[in-house]
Amino acid sequence: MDERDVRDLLERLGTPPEDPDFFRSLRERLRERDRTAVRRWRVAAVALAAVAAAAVAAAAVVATARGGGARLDRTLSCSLAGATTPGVGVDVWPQSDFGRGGLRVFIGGHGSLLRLRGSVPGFALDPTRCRAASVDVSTDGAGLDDLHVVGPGVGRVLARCLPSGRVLLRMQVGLDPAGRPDRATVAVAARDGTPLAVLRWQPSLVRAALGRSCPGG
Amino acid sequence: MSVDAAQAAAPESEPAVGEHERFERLVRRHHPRLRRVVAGIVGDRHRVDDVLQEAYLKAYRKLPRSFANEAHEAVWLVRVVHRCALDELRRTKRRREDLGELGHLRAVPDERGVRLDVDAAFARLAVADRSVLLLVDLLGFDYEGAAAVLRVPRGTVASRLNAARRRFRELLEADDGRA
Repeated sequence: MDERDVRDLLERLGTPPEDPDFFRSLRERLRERDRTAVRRWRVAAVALAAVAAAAVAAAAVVATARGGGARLDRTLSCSLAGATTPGVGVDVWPQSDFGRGGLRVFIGGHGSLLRLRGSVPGFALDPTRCRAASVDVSTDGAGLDDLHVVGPGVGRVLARCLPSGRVLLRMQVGLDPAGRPDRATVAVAARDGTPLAVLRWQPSLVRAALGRSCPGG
Repeated sequence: MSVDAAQAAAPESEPAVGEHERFERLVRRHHPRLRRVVAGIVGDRHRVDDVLQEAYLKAYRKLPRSFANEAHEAVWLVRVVHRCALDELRRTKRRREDLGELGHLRAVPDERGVRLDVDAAFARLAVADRSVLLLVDLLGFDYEGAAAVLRVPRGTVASRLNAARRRFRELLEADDGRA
């Protein structure tokens, strides 16, 4: 009996008849799941909005740009100790049929440090695991030669940086007059300020410059 | 984009318009094959639909916004479903992998003798053997794809596949000998 025979035999494996209501039932369960998720999100959003407002105020960097938009520019030093997944991750995706894209910065097992979506006013910043840093973290991407550009609807960039101990994160967020994020930059650096990655988000375009210790794509 | 990248996608806070439709289209593309995977792993014919629904709900929660290509999509979805089927095995304490539910069919007289022998022999394989046979020989994954689903090195897939084929043949020949 050769390999082809094995394949022929496997084709004969019995499969039970499908419940004719399988997909109707699945659709109902998906709708119920969404209703539950929205309820949870609304509760969480209230809490996150409070944290975000406090963080922006504490940073004292809210500037009124021409056109009424606001801007956050904050540098934090964050511990990576205790993370269930090593390092710090940055996930950036451009607009698609499903929304205006967004950005998330996370430390494994500790939820999102920064989270924004282009279609949702405001952003959520939870700096409780971090402390303010006065180190100047560059956002120009100099020295980072692994470049990624992602256009609308094409994909995303997910980078995971693996410095040891602590990581410096400079996060800049711009809001349009309606309060929705319209641009954001996240620069990741080692504790001594050495640049590791710079990721820029706009709804129409994602650009990322990654160093060797931040594999991604 | 890597498979891991897709899995790490941030969940949407609210369902996007058309997300259900997009997800159902995705699922329907793979559903017949996934039914065979679940049936082959779980063995209990009455649990196949339930396991698949749980797997699809889990997949929906983790649905990436896009996939690099169709192969990537298939690996991602099969991995989720395969993992749920293994969880179901664990939940039901069906740890005697070489005497799965389908194994009981061997004792039941049935005019579909050939199918019964194949089912019975397959059910006597270890779950790791069944997994690799289903992925490579039934679904047609290449070694890299199967390795991504099973989260094992490519070489492990190759060696496990050879061993699984050999054991499957031996079990079928043993059945022939008894017939």
